[in-house]
Amino acid sequence: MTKVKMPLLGRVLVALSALVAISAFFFPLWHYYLEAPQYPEGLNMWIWLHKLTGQVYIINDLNHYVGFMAITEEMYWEFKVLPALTVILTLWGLWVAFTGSLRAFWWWFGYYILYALFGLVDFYYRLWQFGHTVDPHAPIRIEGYVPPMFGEKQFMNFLIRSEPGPGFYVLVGGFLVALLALIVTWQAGKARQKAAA
Amino acid sequence: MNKGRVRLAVLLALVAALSFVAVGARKVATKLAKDAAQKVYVPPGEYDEFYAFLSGGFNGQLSVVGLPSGRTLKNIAVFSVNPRNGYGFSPETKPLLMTSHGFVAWDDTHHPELSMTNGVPDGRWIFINANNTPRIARVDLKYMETAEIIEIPNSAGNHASSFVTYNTEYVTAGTRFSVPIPQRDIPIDQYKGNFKGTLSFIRVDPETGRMSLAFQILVPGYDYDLAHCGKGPSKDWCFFTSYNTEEAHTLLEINASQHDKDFIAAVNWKRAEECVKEGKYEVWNTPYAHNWYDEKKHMAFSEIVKEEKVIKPEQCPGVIYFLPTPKSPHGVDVSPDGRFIVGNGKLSATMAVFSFEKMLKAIEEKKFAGDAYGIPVLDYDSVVHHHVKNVCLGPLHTESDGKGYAYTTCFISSEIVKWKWETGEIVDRIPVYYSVGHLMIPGGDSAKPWGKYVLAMNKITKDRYLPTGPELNQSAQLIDITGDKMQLLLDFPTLGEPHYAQGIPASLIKDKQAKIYNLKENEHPYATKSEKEVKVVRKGNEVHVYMTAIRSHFVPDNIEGVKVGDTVYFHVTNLEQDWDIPHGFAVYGDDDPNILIMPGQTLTLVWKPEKPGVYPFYCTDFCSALHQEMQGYVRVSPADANPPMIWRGGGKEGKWIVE
Repeated sequence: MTKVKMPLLGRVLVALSALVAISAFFFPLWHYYLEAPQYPEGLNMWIWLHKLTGQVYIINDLNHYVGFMAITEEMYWEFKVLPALTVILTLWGLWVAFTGSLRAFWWWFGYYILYALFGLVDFYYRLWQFGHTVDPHAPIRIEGYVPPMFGEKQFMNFLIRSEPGPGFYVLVGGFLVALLALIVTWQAGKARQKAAA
Repeated sequence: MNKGRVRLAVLLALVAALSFVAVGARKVATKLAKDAAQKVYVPPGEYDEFYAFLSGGFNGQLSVVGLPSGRTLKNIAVFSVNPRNGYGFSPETKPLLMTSHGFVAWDDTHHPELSMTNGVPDGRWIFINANNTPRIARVDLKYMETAEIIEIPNSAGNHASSFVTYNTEYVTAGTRFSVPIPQRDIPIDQYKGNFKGTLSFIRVDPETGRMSLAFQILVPGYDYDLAHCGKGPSKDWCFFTSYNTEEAHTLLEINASQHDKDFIAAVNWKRAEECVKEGKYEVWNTPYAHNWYDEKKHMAFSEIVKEEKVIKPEQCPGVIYFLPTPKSPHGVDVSPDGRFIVGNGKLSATMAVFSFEKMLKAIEEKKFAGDAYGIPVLDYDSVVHHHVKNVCLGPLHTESDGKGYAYTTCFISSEIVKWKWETGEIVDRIPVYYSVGHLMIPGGDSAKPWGKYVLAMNKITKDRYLPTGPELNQSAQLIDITGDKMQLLLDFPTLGEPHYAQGIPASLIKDKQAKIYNLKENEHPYATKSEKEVKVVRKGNEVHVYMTAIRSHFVPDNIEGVKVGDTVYFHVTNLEQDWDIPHGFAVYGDDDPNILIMPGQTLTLVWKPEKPGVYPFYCTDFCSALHQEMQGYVRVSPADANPPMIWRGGGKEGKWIVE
């Protein structure tokens, strides 16, 4: 008996999903925007899969008043691991599409879910840790504080807004395409079973 | 009494009478536009429509003023020291003020002119002259700081300067106080024939703006007063006024006011270029300084150049002609289309408007009335286009609105007169308070004026503002020229004594303003780019402190090991990269002013402690909520002591490096 393979459309969709996922390298995942009376033009920080951009240098200088850690790329191993996990996601996806192995597809889909969960949970953990690891000798002492993950939050003279960036939506898009691949594959399976019956 | 004295007495009586009338009639004459307040009001948070750059005269500076509000935005030290930021004191800026006479920290700034492309201000640089020790400076309009200064050799009283040619090929310089050239020791009463002037052309590199002395034209010993270069058809020419064609050397007030006509020198700089190419010049060796600021190294450099090309008019026929001009003309101005040249004869009530076309024709047809020291003098009637008759008393300067009208200031009758370039017809006049010198319409001396306002820069202030003792600031007045009638909008005091100004729409400059110096690009040899690089180095009696400043601490902030007899160099790098977060640095007992270090910049304060003790230093610019804490100490030990050589700061301790 020949092994059951994914339908062609499912395989194309998986390949597409894998390619969409890797394009997340080209867009920031998350955006922080800080506004204060002295900064009517605002300060921006963008978090990418593999790097930080924006006025991080200035934000760090401001953060020292309350004893927040200086944010650097070196501080977070995620900037090395996330790119690797993303490359794996794409290569694995392409392999699934190439072989059309149903079993590999299920594993790959599961990996995508874990990848997304890991990213979001880890991000929240890092925010919590950032707000709770303050220099006890800072000039201004603050009690535990967690920067917003979604939406706005006032902190001292700053209004901080946090929102997903285009890179995040790219990954969501990639996942939706993967979901479509799953539906197509699942329906093809159902149709095959019906035909067999 | 000789004829000259009678004339002078009559003139002085007239001046006195008119001043009296002008002051007496003020309350009646001040007719404000009804909506004046609205026209000059710039709501909080909004910007002025124009940048204006006003020279500061005897303060040696250049003011940046917003129009129409009249608010002073900045005062740029050019030929002056600046206690505000240490300009002229810090080793980084001192070389800018070097001359062949050594360090000259003051001058008299007169005529700023913006760089131009096709006769229109392009907002890249502004040039300004030093009258006393002849120099020209280039101010970079990205940083709004002095970028370069070149000394003008073989000159004195650099007044006919710094006017720019059509595409900023050259900046002019001219000798107002003729002197023996080259300088030598001779009796002053041997002035005639022995004293000379030069008209100099300073080449401007089109990419970098870097200046170099291209050539100097040796001219008779008159007083070359002002200049303007041509546009459009006349773009290859520059025009210089002269007075004292009498060549008087004492009591010039009378002795230089005898001739009915003096000259405008018309210089064909393209012809001069040809002569230089053909080798028709002499190489002279009067030394002069050339100083420039390296914006990557955050440091100025100075060199002495000892070679200049001097063109003698007889060796380069066609390079210069004289236009007879009534009487002791002051300003010379060219219409936006480049067709007309007006000589503002300050002792004549009639202004002569010359036609450039007629001038070329007269030259071609050799219509000369004679020559002066071999320079052809053109026949007056062959070059005059028309006369503006009874224009006023004491016409000094003219600017244009780009709609065919000219505006002339009248010092004696204290007014601005509006007339038509083409016909000389006078269409309007407005009193100004008091005794106006220069005037400025944004782009008003260019090929494309933005003719919305005229700014009158007045020499006498008197009762215009709350009195401030005997010394008063000069006064400027903003006048609306959009309608048929000129309307006074605003009075505001200015810094120093503005002699001329330039204006340009803010939109052409504001978005390219530098906000910080990029720390990564800082190539200052003593830069300290992070707190990890902080060190203190002793080299004999020199102590170099590689210091950082960031909100709100210096590293190091404790220094021990300095001894009396040491020279301490605090090389302070501001680690900030945020807009408008300068840090200042001053140390107790230092005889230099503080340094004000912009974000990403490195500046040096030099200190020679004279007595043992512990001396505080601190940040002088309120930088943050913890600014008051931004302080530190230097311990100074006796010369024969052997103190530990250590530093503390940023939670660390270090030992000095001894070289």
